[in-house]
Amino acid sequence: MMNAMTGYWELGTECSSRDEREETHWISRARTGDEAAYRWLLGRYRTRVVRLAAHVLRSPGDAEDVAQDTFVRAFQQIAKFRGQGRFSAWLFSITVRLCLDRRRSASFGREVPADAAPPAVSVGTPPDTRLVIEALLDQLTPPMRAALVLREIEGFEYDEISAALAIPVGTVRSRLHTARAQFRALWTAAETEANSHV
Amino acid sequence: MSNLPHPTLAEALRSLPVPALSTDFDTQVLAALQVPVPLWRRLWQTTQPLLLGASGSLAATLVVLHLALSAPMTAPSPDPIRIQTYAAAPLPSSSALPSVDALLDKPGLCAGSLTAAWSSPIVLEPSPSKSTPRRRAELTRQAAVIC
Repeated sequence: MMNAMTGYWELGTECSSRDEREETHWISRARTGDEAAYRWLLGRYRTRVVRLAAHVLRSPGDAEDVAQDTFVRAFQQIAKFRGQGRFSAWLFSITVRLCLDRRRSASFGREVPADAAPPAVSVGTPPDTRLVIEALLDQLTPPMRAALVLREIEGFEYDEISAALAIPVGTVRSRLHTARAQFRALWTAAETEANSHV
Repeated sequence: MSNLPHPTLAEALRSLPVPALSTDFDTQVLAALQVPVPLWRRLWQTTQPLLLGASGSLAATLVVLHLALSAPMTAPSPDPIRIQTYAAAPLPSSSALPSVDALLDKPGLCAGSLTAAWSSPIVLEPSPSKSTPRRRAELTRQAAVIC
């Protein structure tokens, strides 16, 4: 059993390092303006960039525009990526910056206040996860939504999130803790409301 | 309270749908990358260091020129102290100098004889033009004889 687990871990590490080597290869080709390299990187990160942009902006239509701008800017400035950190962290930091710029420049509506009503749920049914999480995202500021996605979906470390959002690590940690507490509170409130109608 | 286990935040976030992308997403990105850079921008990027250096040097030249033109145009006056010093310097009398003939007639004449003679300290005689007390008394005596 132990051997099997060790083998699995080694296999995972080997795959990961092979992925990293492959990515490094394509990044170095992209530096020379190779279109095939651009396509490879687009295929690898397209969905993740769009998801991040959609969650930060809360607007699927704008998410695609921001994602395209992200890739154009990243490919134009790929020489600046020295490979100190992960390419994804560098790419997502561009995405977040573009999202925040867009929100600043566009006349987006105000954020929903933190004491918003709990999400509506169907009577007698368990709360809908999607409604709860959307209610949570509506309560958070865009940088916080970015932090949440980078941590919970992309599995970034706190220092990577801190670098991407240009905020202190302690702030990232405390805000993520607050976001988790808010999510639990929202979930409990939605459950209570559902049970009260039974 | 409910017994329903709440999902983790990560699970909840993953449950959200990712917006569908347009089919020409990649094409649009690649097309945006191939937009030609305007000629003026390429020229500017190439010549920027040269032009910046030239403009800096031009500015420095103009400043120096301005300072030079605004300064007063007067010739420097000669130093009166130096002139007085030269005028007051006593000239050695010809009798104080060693006789060249005497030196040449010496039996042990060598290359350094003249140099050694000229480098010896010169004792200046009192200038005849100067009116020392002894000279003044002599002149007074001669005047009395004439009268």
